[in-house]
Amino acid sequence: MNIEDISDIIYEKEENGICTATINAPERKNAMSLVTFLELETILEDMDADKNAHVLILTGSSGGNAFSSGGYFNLNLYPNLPPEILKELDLQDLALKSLCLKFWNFSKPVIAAINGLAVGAAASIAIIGADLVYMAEDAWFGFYFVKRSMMAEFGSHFMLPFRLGFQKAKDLLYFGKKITANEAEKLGFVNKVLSSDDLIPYSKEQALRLIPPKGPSVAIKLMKKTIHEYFKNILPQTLDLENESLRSLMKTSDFRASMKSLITKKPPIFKGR
Amino acid sequence: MKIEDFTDIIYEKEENGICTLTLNRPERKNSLSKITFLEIETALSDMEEDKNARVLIITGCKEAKAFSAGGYFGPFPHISQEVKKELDFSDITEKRLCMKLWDFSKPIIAAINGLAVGAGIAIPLTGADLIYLSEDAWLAFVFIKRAVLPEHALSFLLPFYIGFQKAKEFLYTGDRISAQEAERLGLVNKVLPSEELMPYTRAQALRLIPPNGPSLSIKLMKKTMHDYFRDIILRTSKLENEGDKSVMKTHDFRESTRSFIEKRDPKFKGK
Repeated sequence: MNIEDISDIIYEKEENGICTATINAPERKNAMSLVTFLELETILEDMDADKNAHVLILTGSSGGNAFSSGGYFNLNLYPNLPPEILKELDLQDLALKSLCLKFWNFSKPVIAAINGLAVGAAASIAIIGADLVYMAEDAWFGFYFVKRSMMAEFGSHFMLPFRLGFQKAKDLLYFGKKITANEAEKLGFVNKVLSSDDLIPYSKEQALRLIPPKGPSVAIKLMKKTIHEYFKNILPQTLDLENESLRSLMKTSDFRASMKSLITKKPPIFKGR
Repeated sequence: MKIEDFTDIIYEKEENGICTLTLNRPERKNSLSKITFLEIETALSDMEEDKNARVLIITGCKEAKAFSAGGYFGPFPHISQEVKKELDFSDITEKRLCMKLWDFSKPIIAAINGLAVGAGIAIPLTGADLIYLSEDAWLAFVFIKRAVLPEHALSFLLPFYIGFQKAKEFLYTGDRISAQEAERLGLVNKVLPSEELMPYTRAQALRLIPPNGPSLSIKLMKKTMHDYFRDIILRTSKLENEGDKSVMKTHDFRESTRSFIEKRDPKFKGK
């Protein structure tokens, strides 16, 4: 995929070194398809190759009224794609291993500016992919995987207990909890909660502190590398396990029941198989 | 180095088993030189060998109005050949002291009586089992202001303590953390009025020493908790040393040193 092919995201590069990726699929509340995930990978590659690109700010379009409502799994999308892009998609990579490792190994700081709801994969990407997370006061996280009879991805099964301890992480994942911005700040995976109007200006101001002349970017790059180093072995292992489990979960009757309930809007009745 | 050679710390041993190491270079706000680090190592070795020494309290002298201002990079004092042989100048991040603290078999309590920045907070966070803070004390991970990496495996331990987002916020910005915020984050055990800091610390220390505390089970608890992390801490310290060696060659490092001396904001170039 080339930068010109990006259509679900608005990708802007400023002279001061700030790059902004705005997820922009308002008709589906910025839900992200496999194509959107590939676009994110393409943006990370572009920034890695561009020495004037210093910090990535990841946010959602105001038209979408959300940061992102998570994964978009409409299979009708794929037959219409150009074959060279279709070739780059890995339909088996449900845990988003490729994107997760790309974020983890990305050499530059990432700031997530969460302007509205962030559900499922969107929460995982912000919490695991971003170095700093700023959040609008009316935004929230939905760890809704269990509601779809699925489980989380993006290495969450290691990263959430690492951050929150086992009990709190399991509480979020087992019960598919909704977490407000203020709760997220208290739990410690959000750096600051701001009014909606202040979110982007504050994020940009912090970004500039990481870029010369204010920030020593080489030291920050090596700090990030050193902080991430130990987890480079743990993450792929967790992601492989997540992929294995997600694939088997998709074959269950409970998964089909939860999909059906989305359409019929009735609560699903699970059978445990 | 021998105990009698100490110039930067006061090392006291009481009959009840409490040992106290007081950082004592008030004229430089208890900043820590290679010599100070070696003195701390020597005190640790002395305690390991002394079965009556049970708990170590680390604090800063009153006159300094600081726990410690971090690494000292002023003029080097005259030292004897024997002491010089014990110093490893390639060990920029004090990996050797870090491992000695991690492997130390007895409990350490840090009583942080004033500002604790850079190495001054890295040592308590890696080395101390319990941290008590006076209410007017504060912390800062100022490494970024000197364009260097954190040390003492903080690159691993800080995300482990407070999560990646908060850890990166403090490491990338070097912003000041108040005593109250440090307690809220879970970085320290308790914040106290300054006059209660030492009495409370000593009372807690006595709870870890017979007849109040079963020191053998505490020793084995500590050993078991630390075991899994030993390899990670060793590896992280090594990476921090390597990282520092490469950033010290950058323009930004020289600029930060110059601006520090000239007391102005640095202008970084990213190279």
